[in-house]
Amino acid sequence: MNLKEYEGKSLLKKYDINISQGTTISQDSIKQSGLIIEQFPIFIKAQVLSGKRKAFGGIKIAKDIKHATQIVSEMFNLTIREEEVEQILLDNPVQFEKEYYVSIMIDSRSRRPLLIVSSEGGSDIEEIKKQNPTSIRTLEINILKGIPSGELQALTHDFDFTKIQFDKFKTTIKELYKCFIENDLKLLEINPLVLETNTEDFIALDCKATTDDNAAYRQPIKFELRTGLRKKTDIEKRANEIDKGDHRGVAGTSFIQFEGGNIGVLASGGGASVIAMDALVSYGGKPANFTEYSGNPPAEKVAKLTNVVLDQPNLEGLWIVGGTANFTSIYETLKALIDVVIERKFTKPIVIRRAGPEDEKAFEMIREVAKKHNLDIDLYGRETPITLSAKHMVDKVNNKLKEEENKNNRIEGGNN
Amino acid sequence: MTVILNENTRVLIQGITGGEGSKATKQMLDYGTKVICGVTPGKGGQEVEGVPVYNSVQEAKQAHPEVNTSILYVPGKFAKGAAIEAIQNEIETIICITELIPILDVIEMIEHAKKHNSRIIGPSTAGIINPKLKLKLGSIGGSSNAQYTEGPVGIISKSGGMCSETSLLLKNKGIGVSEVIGIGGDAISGTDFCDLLEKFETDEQTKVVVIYGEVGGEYEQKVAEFVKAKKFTKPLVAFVSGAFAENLPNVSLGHAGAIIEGESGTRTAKIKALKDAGISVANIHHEIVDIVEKILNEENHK
Repeated sequence: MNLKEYEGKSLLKKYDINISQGTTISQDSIKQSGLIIEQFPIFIKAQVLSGKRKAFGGIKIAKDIKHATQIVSEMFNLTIREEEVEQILLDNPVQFEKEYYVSIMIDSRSRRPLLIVSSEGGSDIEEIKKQNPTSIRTLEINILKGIPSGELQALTHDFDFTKIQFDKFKTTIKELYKCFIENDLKLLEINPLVLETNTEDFIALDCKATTDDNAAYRQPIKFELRTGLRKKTDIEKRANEIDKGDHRGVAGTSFIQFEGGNIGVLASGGGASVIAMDALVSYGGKPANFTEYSGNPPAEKVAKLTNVVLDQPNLEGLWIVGGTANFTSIYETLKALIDVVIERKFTKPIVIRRAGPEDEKAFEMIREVAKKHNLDIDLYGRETPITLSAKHMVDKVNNKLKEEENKNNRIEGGNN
Repeated sequence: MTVILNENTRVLIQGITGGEGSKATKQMLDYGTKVICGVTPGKGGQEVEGVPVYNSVQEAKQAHPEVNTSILYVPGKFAKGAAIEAIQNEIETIICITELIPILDVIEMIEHAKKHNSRIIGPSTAGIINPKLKLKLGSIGGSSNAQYTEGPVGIISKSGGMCSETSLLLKNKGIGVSEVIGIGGDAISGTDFCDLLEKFETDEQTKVVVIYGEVGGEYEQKVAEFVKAKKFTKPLVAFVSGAFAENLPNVSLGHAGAIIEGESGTRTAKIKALKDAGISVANIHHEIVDIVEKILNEENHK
């Protein structure tokens, strides 16, 4: 999970790492005790996850309380790349000589933590890569050994550090690494890390950190959950509710609603659901949503998810798709699903591609109910690739729309 | 030369008494895998499907020195300890089925394996299957295994489910597989595509290899470099899933698991690197099979 600057800094505070002095405020805290600032000028920093907040007006400097009040109230109304500003950090300025870049991340190539430093901090790392690539130094860290001091010295040999400065830099790096390991981080980025003019201390002015969800169970600090920058739609919220308190299988936890889509999707299986969506989009289909159910969820969960999918407006088709199941009874899940379709009288085109235990029984049942309730269903099994059923779905919806258009034209023509 | 599995593969299952572990044990035995023993601390002396259970890997290894492969069916928080125990007892290959292991634990496991010349496959792998040898490690293929028929195609896949689906599409065209290996879709895999391509290069049965990639990490880019350096010279077909998610703002797919590291983790970057290296890339999943079929026809006419 990505942490906001003030959350990241709260982790740094527990180590021998200097950070700029600041206070975090929210709209509630202002309501309760007003806006209190003792020193000016002051940096006013929106606490959002987006990396480019400055360009969107997320970092400002205020010279007095009146100015600060105005900036703060404007900033709380700001949306930075779809993300609302919930907290603001009031940060005291630091006089510095030079800016550095430091990060520790997980490197998939070396399968090790990777330390990255640059003597040209301040702008983002992609920019540094372009402008001054030779200033970037990297060090693979053997987790069984940590960071050897000698290697750090070699890494920064031309950074023009005095002995005292290098020792302080070394301490900061080692403490950052400790913070990275002890808090189960996947990324810890300090940019800039500045060399303060008078004290020659290194001070972290910003902090970007990502925690490892898989290690949350052993971490005492619980940060408020976030799933993405965009606010969830009501449909998404309802889908996410389905798995809460019921751990039998998964249904609806990953649900994304798309604007302007007209094909409802009920996909099954992690890998299969992704290639299914890829195919649908590449054949020109417009999915209304992405969602996935797997791990043999009970019928009532599948039914709930079907209801949420069908509650989306402007649906012209429904696509029920999945790979070849190993254990999940295709009959049980399709029965739960089709009961909802019947109940809601959804007569638009439906394409089903499923295979696995009891699939023949399931298909027989569906053929029967389709006939009885006049449902427009095409059935495909293991002989048809998941991805080709996407094409059938798209063609079916397009043909139906064309048919209706022609019918309307004929009616209009008849009136003329 | 074989890939990972061979006639000498002798298996130990760590976490054999758990639900997943015991179910997989039965499936493996049914298929023909030589499951020799299992380990669950505190459950020594029991049996699962007729397989003896020991309290530690050391005990198991003393009783069955021929064991060379371990499969991990232990919960995430115990996976690191279990893997290190296997490594220290000279198990050569560790198949880590366990999902959701803290990433720093995975890194530590891999560092230990490197030190002791062991190989970790996974985490989050569905396993490995070889229809010619009638051997499988893990629950890959479920209880039927029908989609896996013997043939010339090697498959390396980040997605476990898609090991089955890809094999099924091949089977529908009358094409079989040599060895199918799930490497897991996490940001860090103990064994990546290249480690296995090196093995497939010398495997006589394998005429063409399919790699199934996902967004995140840089293992697909490594393949491009590997092929450019002529370290793998057989025909290769690649597919990278996740096209639909690329144009969506702030969407992360749970299954992809991995963090997209800047530009390099994106599907576009991976596809570009693979194509630049002259590798055939399927845009839609079922095209993999069309490309494989074409390659095999050409090979036959040589």
